[in-house]
Amino acid sequence: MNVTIEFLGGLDALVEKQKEVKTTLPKEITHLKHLIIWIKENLMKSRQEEFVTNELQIRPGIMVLVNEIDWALLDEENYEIQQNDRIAFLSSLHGG
Amino acid sequence: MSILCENCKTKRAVFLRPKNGSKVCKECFIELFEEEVHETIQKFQMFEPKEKIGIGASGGKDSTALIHVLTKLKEKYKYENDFVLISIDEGIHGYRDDSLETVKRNQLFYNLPLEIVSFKDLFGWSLDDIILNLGPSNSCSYCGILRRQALDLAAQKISVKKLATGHNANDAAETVLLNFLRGDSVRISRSSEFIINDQNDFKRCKPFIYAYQKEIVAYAYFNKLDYFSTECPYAVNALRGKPRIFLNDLERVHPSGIIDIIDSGQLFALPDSSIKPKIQKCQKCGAVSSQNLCQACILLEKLNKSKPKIEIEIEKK
Repeated sequence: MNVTIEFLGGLDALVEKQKEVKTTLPKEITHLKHLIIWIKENLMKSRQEEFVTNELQIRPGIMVLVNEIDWALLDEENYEIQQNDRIAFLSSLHGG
Repeated sequence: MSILCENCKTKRAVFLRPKNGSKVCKECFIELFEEEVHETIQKFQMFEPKEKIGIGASGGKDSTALIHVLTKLKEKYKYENDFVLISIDEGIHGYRDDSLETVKRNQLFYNLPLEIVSFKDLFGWSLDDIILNLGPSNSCSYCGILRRQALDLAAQKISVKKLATGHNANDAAETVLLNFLRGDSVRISRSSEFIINDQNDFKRCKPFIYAYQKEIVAYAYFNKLDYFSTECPYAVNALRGKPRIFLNDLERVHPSGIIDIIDSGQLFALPDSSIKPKIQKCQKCGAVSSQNLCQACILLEKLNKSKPKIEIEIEKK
């Protein structure tokens, strides 16, 4: 599955300043809940706690949008990833 | 399966508003958000006709969104106000220099005048120098004290009677909680005011006081605004982080909690019998102060006392 992942609102600081990552996901990464853990384990070297909580939930204050649609309208972490999805993680916690 | 916008009932909903749980399309969200800011400005008479309004511009999401909203509202509702951007350069290497570049890009984009004042020019000390001298443990309070003064001085310099800042509902709720945590009862109701009257001829106002932080970020995202989102390198020491995390958790389970805290702050009035600090003028600089010397002058005195020593040491070499 080919996807584009965006790290916005300051989250790029957690992934070596990459604002956009185009990647092919492993077969077992089918839903957003898997993707979140995959990002934490594969793209982040430190400060993972600023992305996910201890329960591996996305940190409150970070919005997730799939193709510019709020994931709250897409069943959140149970959303099934589609080919060429553009998935944005947008922090409201950084700066001001 | 797509959901229809609850407002226009024609386009696809793309955003669930944290403020009230409504599902709206991009165009309706942008319009509703702007209308609500307009209502706040009108309800509390934040701008008087013909008044020149300063906008505190940091390059961050809140002030960048504020510039965008005010520019649109001015056009739509024919505000009789001119806007001028005011930026403070605290002197934080690798942070403020970059964010000021963002402000300068926005200045050109929105075609607004920009006034930049620096701590170094106003007080003789950059924040980096202050922290080298006094250590990082109180960096945010030093910065806050001087920034307040710097904004007042900048506003005087370009004769602006009112300053609009991008403080949002989450910021106001955070400040109410912080003042509770510090036991600073006098400041509790103050921190949730819409318009703060510092001096007779200068007021601050917060058009975003009822705007949720997430909605401001979503507004900036949907409008593709150019803002700077790196965290200040000194902010790690701030007590503010704890209430911020709490409020984000609270917002998930009880969205109106943010506004409820602000409203509680506003209703929190001290009885007349309590001791309120009397308002007087700083004997040194004339700024409004609750003591003989204002906080900024106390800080600068402390810093300047440490300065001659260093110079003598250099001379000895």
